[in-house]
Amino acid sequence: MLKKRVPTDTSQSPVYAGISTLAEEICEQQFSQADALSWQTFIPASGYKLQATQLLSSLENEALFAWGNDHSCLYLDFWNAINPDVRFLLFYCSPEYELSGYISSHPFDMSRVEQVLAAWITRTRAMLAFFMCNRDCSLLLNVQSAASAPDAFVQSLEHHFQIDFGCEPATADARPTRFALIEYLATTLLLKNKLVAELYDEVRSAATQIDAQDRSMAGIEERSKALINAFLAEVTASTQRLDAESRLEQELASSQLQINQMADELEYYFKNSIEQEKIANTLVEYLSDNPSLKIARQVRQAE
Amino acid sequence: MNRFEELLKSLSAQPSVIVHLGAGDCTEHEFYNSIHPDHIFYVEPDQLLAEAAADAFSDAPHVRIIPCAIATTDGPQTLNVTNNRRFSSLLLPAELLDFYPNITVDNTTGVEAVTLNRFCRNQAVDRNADNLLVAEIQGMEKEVFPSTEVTTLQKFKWIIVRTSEEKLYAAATEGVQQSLSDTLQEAGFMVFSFAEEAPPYVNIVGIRNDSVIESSELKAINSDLLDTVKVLEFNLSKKDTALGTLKISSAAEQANSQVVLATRAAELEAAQVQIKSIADEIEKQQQNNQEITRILNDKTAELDASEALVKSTRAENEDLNRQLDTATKTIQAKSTDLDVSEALVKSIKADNKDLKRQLDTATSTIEAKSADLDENEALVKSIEAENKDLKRQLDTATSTIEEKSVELNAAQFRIQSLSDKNSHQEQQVSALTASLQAKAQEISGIQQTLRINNKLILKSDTDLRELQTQYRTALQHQEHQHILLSELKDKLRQASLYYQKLNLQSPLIDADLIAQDEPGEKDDSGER
Repeated sequence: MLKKRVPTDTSQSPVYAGISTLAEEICEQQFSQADALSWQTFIPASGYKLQATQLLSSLENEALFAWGNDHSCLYLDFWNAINPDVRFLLFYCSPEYELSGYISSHPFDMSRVEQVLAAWITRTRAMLAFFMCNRDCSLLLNVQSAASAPDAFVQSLEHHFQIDFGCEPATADARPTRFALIEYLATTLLLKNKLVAELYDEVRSAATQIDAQDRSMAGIEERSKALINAFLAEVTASTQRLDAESRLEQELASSQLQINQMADELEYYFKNSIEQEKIANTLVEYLSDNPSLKIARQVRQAE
Repeated sequence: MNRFEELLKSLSAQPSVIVHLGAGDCTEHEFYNSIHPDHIFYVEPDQLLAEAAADAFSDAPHVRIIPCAIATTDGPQTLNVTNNRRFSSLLLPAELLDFYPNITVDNTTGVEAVTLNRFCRNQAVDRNADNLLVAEIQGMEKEVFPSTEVTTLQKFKWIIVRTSEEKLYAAATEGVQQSLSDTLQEAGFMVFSFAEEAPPYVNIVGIRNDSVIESSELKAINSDLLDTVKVLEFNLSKKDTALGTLKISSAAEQANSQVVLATRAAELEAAQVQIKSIADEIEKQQQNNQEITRILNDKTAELDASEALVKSTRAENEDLNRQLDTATKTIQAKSTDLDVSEALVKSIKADNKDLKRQLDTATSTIEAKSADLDENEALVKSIEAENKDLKRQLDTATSTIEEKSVELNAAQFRIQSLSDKNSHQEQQVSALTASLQAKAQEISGIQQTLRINNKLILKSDTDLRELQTQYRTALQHQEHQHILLSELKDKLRQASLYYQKLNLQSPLIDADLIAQDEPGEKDDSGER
């Protein structure tokens, strides 16, 4: 039996803000001295349990409440222990996607790249371990697949968690656009990283499938080839766009020329029509003032 | 993810030989290398992975890649190759699919399989060294380990097996399956089990308990010895009985032989007495002969000596006479010299006394000096010895310094080349990132111009549409005017006709009308 639940924007709810603040506090307590990139799994202090329980108990009357945070994957057991009704949506991504995200927004530094990969390993391992132990209440999904196939993603959610959202998924892709070339460059940094490859293969073997790309177990070299092909496709598309743009510009120029010509013609006709109108008016005036015509009119009226 | 590294670190294992069965991508290689084993054997049945590993470790002489499967029997087998190649196995996946639902068997391929016993024999893995066995053989461990000889298992000091309590793979031979822990414990291993981060895998660690193995070996030897003792005792009792019978028969034989022996001995004694008397006679004759020859020799020697004496005494007498003459002459000369020399001797004696004194003092000083010299010599010798040692040390130090400096130069050169390469790569990367950023900027510029163009197109479209509507209305106006003009034309024609008619009927009216119209006529005609 599906429970009909209409999703609403819970991010404006005070409970959402409360949980976010609590999560921030937990992470600050854990990573106060550490670098932002140094991720590691941990068990939050027992004092936070009561706060979390109170926050979640205030949601008993809510039909559906969703909350998300990227650091929460490091202490998933904490949330699981607080309320057994909580369902977990775990999003993993490919290492090249993670790395390209960092490279595109930061200056290149090899040591930072290694830190990014170490963080990816920690996060992915934590999510995989939790998913393998709690398959009934969790879904492990590829974030790229979920974004590219929202219908299948929602279906998967509905099927696994027995929820009927009863509405169409939003089609807008909120993720930042990534260039295939940057992802390709990221794959070149991963070619000899066997540990990352092994973990990514294991995650893909265990995760919930959404679409056809999840079924592919392509290795890093194949993925690298696919990305360079995608980059070439992007280049061709951009060249085509440029060609189309230049064509449009030409069309625009010609249509502007036509418009101008038409405007000239119209102006000419307009002037002509004004002239003719003037002539007609004078003719009408003349004819109306003509005495013979007046007599003729009188005669006609008399008849 | 397995916990091999963590487990081996906690064991502080320093193995001489590492055997990794089902090595896959050899993810653990970096860690294995860090514990400096003499040899590493990676066994991988998947041809693709084995070739990749062989390429990767072609410059590592201590690493060997063996492309085969480990099974219960030697010979060809079928490998089920899965889409995630780390799960490929000789067995078909069963409950594995509950944990990894996306695993599929893509194809099957033939591989050569060997038993663990044969593998250890072929690769000369012996028990003298501390060896490590890591097994990731995807379900086969439940069959391979129970069927492996205990002595083969005992060749490894540490055994780590990645296995599961679940039936991840379909069994090939049901009967052989046995608990891994039991197998290892029976082979004299202390067994510990560690669950991985997530199900379904556990890591079973076996540490060889040498004392248990030795005591069991001793027990076996002891029982063997007891068996041999029993056999020997049995043999002894058998031999005792045989000896008894032999003793009885030999006693009779002994009596007979004693009689024969006594007669023989008497005959022997008589013969010996005869031989002795003959030998004595021969000896006496030999002694007589020797005495005669000695006397003869003595007499001939005496004769020769007397003849030589006569000759020499004669020559001596002649010489003595000659010497006597010369001596009397010299004695006369010498007597004069003697007086002179006596005076000289006296002065020399005085000089000698002085010299003797000087000599005594000199000898005493020389003795003192020689003692010092000896000491100095000893010191010099010790210093020389020390010098030699130091020289040797210096030589070795200089040679090592030279070697080190050569190594240092090479290392510096390598570092420089690496840093050059690194800087080059960094430059390339920075150039790439710069070009990327430029391209990204270009693309964003293009996107912006596109957006502007789109807006312009939209605007021009709306303008065009407006102009088109205006044009259409103007056309309508024009048409309307045309219609009006044509109507006007018709009416004017009718009016002119009517006017002509009227002119024909009454030309006076016309003249009057013209006369009335005269003042404004000029203006109208001008307008017209």
